[in-house]
Formats: sequence, structure tokens, C-alpha cells
Amino acid sequence: MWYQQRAGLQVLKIQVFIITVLLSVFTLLQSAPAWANPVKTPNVQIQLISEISNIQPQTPFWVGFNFKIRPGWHTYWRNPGDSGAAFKVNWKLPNGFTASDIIYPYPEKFPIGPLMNYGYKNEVTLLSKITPGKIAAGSLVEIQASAEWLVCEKECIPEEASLSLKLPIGATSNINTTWTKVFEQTRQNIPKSSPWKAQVNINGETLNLQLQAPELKGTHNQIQEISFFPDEDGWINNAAPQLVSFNDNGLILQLQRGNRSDINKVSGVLVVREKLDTPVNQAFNIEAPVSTQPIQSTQASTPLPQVLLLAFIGGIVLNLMPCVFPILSIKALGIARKSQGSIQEVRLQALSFMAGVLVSFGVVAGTLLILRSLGEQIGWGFQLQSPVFVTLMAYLMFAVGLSLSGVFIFGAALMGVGQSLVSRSGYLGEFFTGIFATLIATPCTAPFMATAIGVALTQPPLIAIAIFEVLGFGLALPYVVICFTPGLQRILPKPGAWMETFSQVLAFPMYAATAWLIWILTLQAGTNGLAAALAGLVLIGFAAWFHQKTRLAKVFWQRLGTIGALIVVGFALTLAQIPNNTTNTVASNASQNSLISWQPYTLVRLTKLRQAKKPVFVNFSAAWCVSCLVNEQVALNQPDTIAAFKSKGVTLLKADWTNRNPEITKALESFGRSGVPLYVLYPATNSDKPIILPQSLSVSEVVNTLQRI
Amino acid sequence: MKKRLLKLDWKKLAIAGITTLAIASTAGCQSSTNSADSSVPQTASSPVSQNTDTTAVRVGAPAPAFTAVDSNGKTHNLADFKGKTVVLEWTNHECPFVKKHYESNNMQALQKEKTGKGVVWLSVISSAPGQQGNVTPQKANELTKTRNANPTAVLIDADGKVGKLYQARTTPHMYVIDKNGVLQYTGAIDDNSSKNPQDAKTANNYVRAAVDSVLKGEAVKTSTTQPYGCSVKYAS
Repeated sequence: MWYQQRAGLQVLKIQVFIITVLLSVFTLLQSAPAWANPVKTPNVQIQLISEISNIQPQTPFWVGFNFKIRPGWHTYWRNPGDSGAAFKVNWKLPNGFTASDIIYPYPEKFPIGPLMNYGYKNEVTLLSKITPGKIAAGSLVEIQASAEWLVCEKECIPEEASLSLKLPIGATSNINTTWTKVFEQTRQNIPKSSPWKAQVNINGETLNLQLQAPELKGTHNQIQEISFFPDEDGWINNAAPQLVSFNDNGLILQLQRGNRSDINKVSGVLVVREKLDTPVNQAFNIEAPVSTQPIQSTQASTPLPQVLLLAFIGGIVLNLMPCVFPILSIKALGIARKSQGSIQEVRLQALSFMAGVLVSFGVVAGTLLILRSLGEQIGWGFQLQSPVFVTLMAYLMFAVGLSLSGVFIFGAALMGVGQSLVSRSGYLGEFFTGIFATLIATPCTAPFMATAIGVALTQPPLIAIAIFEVLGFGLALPYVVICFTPGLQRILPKPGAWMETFSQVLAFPMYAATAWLIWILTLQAGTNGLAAALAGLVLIGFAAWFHQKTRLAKVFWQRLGTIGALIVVGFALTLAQIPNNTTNTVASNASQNSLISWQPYTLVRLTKLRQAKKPVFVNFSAAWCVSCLVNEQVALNQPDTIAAFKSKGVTLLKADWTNRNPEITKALESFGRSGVPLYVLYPATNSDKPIILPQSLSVSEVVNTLQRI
Repeated sequence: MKKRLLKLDWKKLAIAGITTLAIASTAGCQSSTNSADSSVPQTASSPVSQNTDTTAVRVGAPAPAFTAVDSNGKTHNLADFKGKTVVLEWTNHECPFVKKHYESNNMQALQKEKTGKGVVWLSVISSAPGQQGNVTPQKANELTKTRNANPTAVLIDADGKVGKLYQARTTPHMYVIDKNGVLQYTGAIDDNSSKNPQDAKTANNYVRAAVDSVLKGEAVKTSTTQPYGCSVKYAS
């Protein structure tokens, strides 16, 4: 009996076994169609994934190797950099099937000690396009891939996996929604073809990569980082810093040459990281022939002593500028009178004056450097971009002119006449005269010195300050020399009544400078600004006259005159603020080469179009935004995109935020954005929500989105 | 009285002047972003700050001179080997790619073949203390013995001086220097970067070809390649 039981148990066991096997085979068959089970190694999980769930004969489709990498570890790009190894795959495909080369998303840099690697961390998907051959519908095909890769933290582990993916053949192809997001995200990171031409120039150990993109010139504020990843080894030193600079032709990436002795071309991927709400990376494939023509590099190659000499000469020349000459010449002529005092005192005063000049140049240089480090695009004369400053300078020039004309005598100390020379304040006075001379010199320096000082600003801070100081030294020197050489003082004409005429004559260069500044202001602020500034000049004239008129009266009137003049001047200063608010909104011509006809965005226009049930695409853009420029070139301004817009009858609006228009700012905020780019597609029916497109566009992205409306 | 007033005015003027300068600086930068044209060159932030101002170690140029101590305490100088062909092999016995070439006996066979023809073969270990592949001189000798390796000497370069001088990046990373001290080959050992030891036998061995050409006084056909393998474990 017991053996029967036992036998019965045996049978049951066998039955259970068979059922289990059948069940597992069944589940295996069930789970097989779309994707293979992932392979887990100690450091990665790899899975061969397909974008579609069934194959259509002869219709290519995409598969990918999806890596989930252990935190802290990385795998490699097609060029692994200084060490490592690229991903390798051996396909076993059904007859007639072909697989494309692996398409890599752009990599990132992994510095390891003095070495540099290019690869991926966390998660990456490497793509390949499979083209099926002729195959009957209804069957199941198996795609097999033996993959080999290297995964490293500091130490490296080679790993491999045999992956298999079974897909049924069907009449229609269905998207496998499990992986749609992964494929979409991966495609965002596949480098686009570059909208710009590139060129390489080798200069000793430096390899300059020039991107011919003049439109990027104004965008450097936006660029956080630019990285170049070469396709081949030995073109560049992978670990060396990559320095970015801009010139008229666009952008230059200064790289260190690698160990290859023959370099005929340089190709690879350029990743531009733009500072946006969330930084956006734009990746391009670039191919640059090696040109023998030297690229006009902005890394100034002029030797330092030469730059300093130029700055010094420039400083001396400044003395002859119409804004400076009247003041300093009269000051110099006044020395003769000073020389009645002790020679030493005159000399000390001259040095005080020089100190004033040097300190103020130092302040200006420091301010420029700080602003520059904060990322502002400025050069010498940056002040002249501000209508307020231009107006104030015009007032100042005019006031000095009036003083020279004899309408009033103010700041007599400036001219070095009438002031008690022995008093201690003499030194302080001279010091401030130095500051005043610098201030008054700025409008004249801007046009002449911009380039030289532009060079200074590309130098390290200490050298930049040195250049500024040498410039200031040059400015102060002629006056100081005169003070220090009594011989020269004797040659200068003796002061006398003629000096009054002379100073009156010198008033005219000041008026000329005023006129020039007012002209600049008109360009910046239009006629409203002009009106405000001219009204201010009239007030200044009145204040000057009033001040002088009361000068000879009783103390009460003197005080009243001073206070009255100050009030009037204060009023004039308020007027100076007006031009700033009426700054001309010059329409940006960022889309000048555009094939697309954009209409300017206004809320009214958008509302009207929506009420008329028309689909609208709004392009929130700015001339200084890299991504905007890139997207317009590679995705929007493309025949396929334009055709898609036309076929859907979409009205194209461009919201140009170059000048930070408040209406556009509001519109951006309504989408939770504080900046551009932003692309919004409004479907024709009002009930449908507007579709927000990604910040990095591609033609297929836009066309696919358009098909949804 | 008049003098005092004058002085007062003067101070006010000075203050006004400074204020103007201050306003100018701030106002100037506000509007500056709007101006698109500027011939002033710009320098954006660069990702890496330190400047490795090194000249690339290039084929056709004299190989950098070095002095290093071997696993037996003997000091070697590149100049000592003038008149001989020198092979430099960066190695790290724990690196899978080094293992590939030693477990397949590929490296040892090449060492034996070339040293037999009078070539000086220097294996260099640049792994820093505490890093993978860092060994004592005794351990280095033991490795030579157990692996049946045939280098002329094993240089201990724990401070990475020679490695950095040659910009050695991987293990293995190979260099061939001719009898005049000119670098003739730099790069990988062969053209198959797989980790499979079997591939070492079928691959095209660049170093063998380079040494043969150098010994015959011919130009090296493939003289610069991309080395593959683990990174050299320098102190970081």
C-alpha cells in the first residue's frame, strides 16, 4: 500500500513538474515578443529595446542598448578619450536584415587624475537602425546581439552580454509605448548636424577651432560651457582646458594639440551648454578642415611691453582730446602762478593730481573687471551705452564750457587758479582734479581707446589693471612733467589777460563735445530723450547764470543763489532719467536670413487669431539666446517644417525678447518660464490646451507635434 | 567767506563727480546686454582652470629624457641606451587588458622575441601608492618570475614622473624609441581592443611591426595609434 502511495506521489510530482515546465514555457512565449529580459552584471543592467512592438517587412525601425549604470561608474563614448574602450556589438540577424552603426548620444567628460575620458553615467541608450528584409507576416524573428563594453569607476571591468529580442512580423507597425520616452529622450541627445561651418588652424601646440557663427557673438553671456569631443585620438590633448573666445567670425575654441603629427581635419561633437532656467545642452556634429590661414585669435598675441607702451602713448594723446585739453591746458598755464609757491609744493600737488588720475583709472578698471566677471558684455565706453550717463556727461561738458566762457566761475580750483595754493586742501583739490580729469576724459576715450582697452579686458586681472594704470600715467604725465621742470614753466607764456580769451576759445571744444553727446543720445533715446536733454541744458544754463549773478550780492543772496542753482541742477538731473525710459525698441533682425515669415507677437494679435480659430505657433526668442538661434536654424527654418506649418495653416508669431519686453515677459511667466527659448503651439480649437515644445527642437519633433493638431 | 564757499562747492562737485561715475557704471551695464555689437573679444568661463602647458610627446621628435630606478634598485637613464632600440611598456598587473596580453602569453613572447634581437624592453609601473597595480620592487620581481616575463628591467615609477613625462594614458601603452633616441611609435599594442585573450594572437601587433621597421632602419608605417586599456593609476 505504502508503495502505491509513494508511486501516486511520484506521479503527482511528475505531473507538477510537467505543468511547471509547460507554464514556464508558456510565460516565456508570452513575455518574449517585445523585448528580451535585461542582462544584469555587477555594474550595469543592459537591455536591448525596440521602439516598435512588431516589425513591418522592409520598414526600418530603431532598437537601442539601454544601459543603467551603477552610480559612480561610467561607460564609454565611441572615442573613449585617454583610456577605456568603446562599446562593441556583434549582430546575429535574420537573413536579409541589416543593422546600422551605433549612434551615440553626446558624451560627457570624466576627468581621472591627469587623464580625461569621454562617456556616460547613470543611464544611456545607444541606438541602431535595423532594416528588415523580405519576410512573411505572422512569423516571429529574433534579433541577437553579443555586446561587449567596459565599465569603470576608477578601476575598469570589461563586461559582456548576449541579448536577444523577439519581434513578430505584422502588417502594421505599432509603437511600443514602454520605451517611447527613452527613445525620445535619447534622440534629444543625438548631435545634430551643425548649422555652422567650422575650420581648424594649428599654431604650434595650439589648435584653434573656429566656428563660423557670427550670430553667436552676442551670446557669450548665455554660454556656460563649450566642450569639444574629438572623433579620433591624437588630434587634441583630451585633458587640456578648452578656452572659449569670440571674434567677428563667431566663436573660437582654443584646444591643445594632441600627439598626432598629421592632422588633415578635425571632426567630433561640440556641446554648447547654455544658461537657461534649466541649463540646456546643444550638441552638433562638426567637421573642420585644417586651414593654413591663421585664425584671427582674440587671445591677444601682442607682447605685454608693447601693449603697455601703446597704452602709455594713448594716455599722452588723451591730453589733446577736446574734452581734456581745455582743462589741462589752463591748469598747466596756471602753474606759472603756482610757481610762486615753493617748487616742492608744486611738485607734491602734481603728484596728488597723478594719484587722483591713477586711483580713478584703477576704480574704472576694477569696476569693469568685476562686471566682466559677472558676465556682462562691456568694454571701455560701456557707460556710453547708457542714455543717462550720456545725458549727464553732456551736462558736465556744457557746464565746463559755460565756465570757460565766463558765464560763471565754478570749481575754480579745477583750473588751478584763485585757490589758496598753500592750503592743505590744495593737495586734496589736486587729487580730485585728477579724478575729474578721468571722468571728463571718458567720452573722448571711448571711440579711440575701445580696441586697446578691449585687449586689456581679455588679459588676466592684474595685467588689465596694469594697462589701465599705464594709460592713466600717460594722461597725467605731461602735466606732472611741466610741474617738475621749472625750465618748461618758463617757456610757457606768462599768464595775463590773454588767458581769459584763451579759455573762452577753449569753451568751444567743450560745446562741440556736448553736441556730439547729444547726437549719441538721439540715437539711443530718440527725440523724447533729445527734448529732455535739451531742456536740461537750458536749466543748466540758467543755474550757471543764477549762481554767478548772486555771487556778488549779499551773503543771503549768495546762499539763495547756490541753493537755487543746486535745485535747478537737480531738476536737470531728473530730466536725465527720461531718456532711459524711452529707449528705442529697435526691432531685432535675428531672423534676417529666415525663409519663414514671422509676425511680431502681441497679446492682441494672438487673441484675435485664436478667436478666429486659427492655429498659432509662438516662438519666444532673443538675439542673444544660443538655443533660439540653433533651433531656428536646424529645426524651424527647414523646408519640411515650413511645409508642415503651411499645410496646417499655422500663423507664426515671434515674440522677440531681445530687449526684455514686459508683455513678452508676462507671456513667458504664464508658462512658468523666466526666459527664452519657449515654443508654444496653439491648436485651432480654443478648448485644446496649448502644446509646449522642448527647448531643443528638431525637424521631426516639430513636424510630429504639428500632426497632432 | 568767499573762499569757504568755493571750497564747499568744490567738495560737492567732487561728490557729484564720483556719484556720476558710480551711476555710470551701474547704468552702463544695465543697457549693455541690449547692444549686440561689440568688437571687444569675450572670454567665457572655461571648464578646466589649470593649464597643463605640456608639449605632446610626438613621433619623430626626441623621446623625453628620464631617469628611473628599477625593481632591483638599479638606476636607468634613457641616454644609457643610446645606440639601442628601446621599448617602453606601461603596465598594471591587475588591469584586465594587461591580463589579456599576459594570460595569452602575448606580451612575454614579444618581450622574448625583441630582447633576443638586442632591444631594450622597459616595463614601467606608474601606479601610485594605494592605487591598483602599485607594487613593491619584490612583488614586481615576483610577477616577472611567475608570469615568465622577459623585460630588460621593470621601472618603478610610483610618483608617475616618467608616466606623466611620456603622457602615458593606459595600461598597456607602448612606445618605441630608435637608437638615436627619437620616438618612432606611440600607442596601443595591437588593433583589437577587446578583452578576449584569444584576440591577442590574431590581432595586428603594432609594436612588433614598429620594432621590426626600426631595426631595419625603415619608417614605421603605423606610428601613432590610440592606446586602449585601463587608465594609468596616477595619484589624483
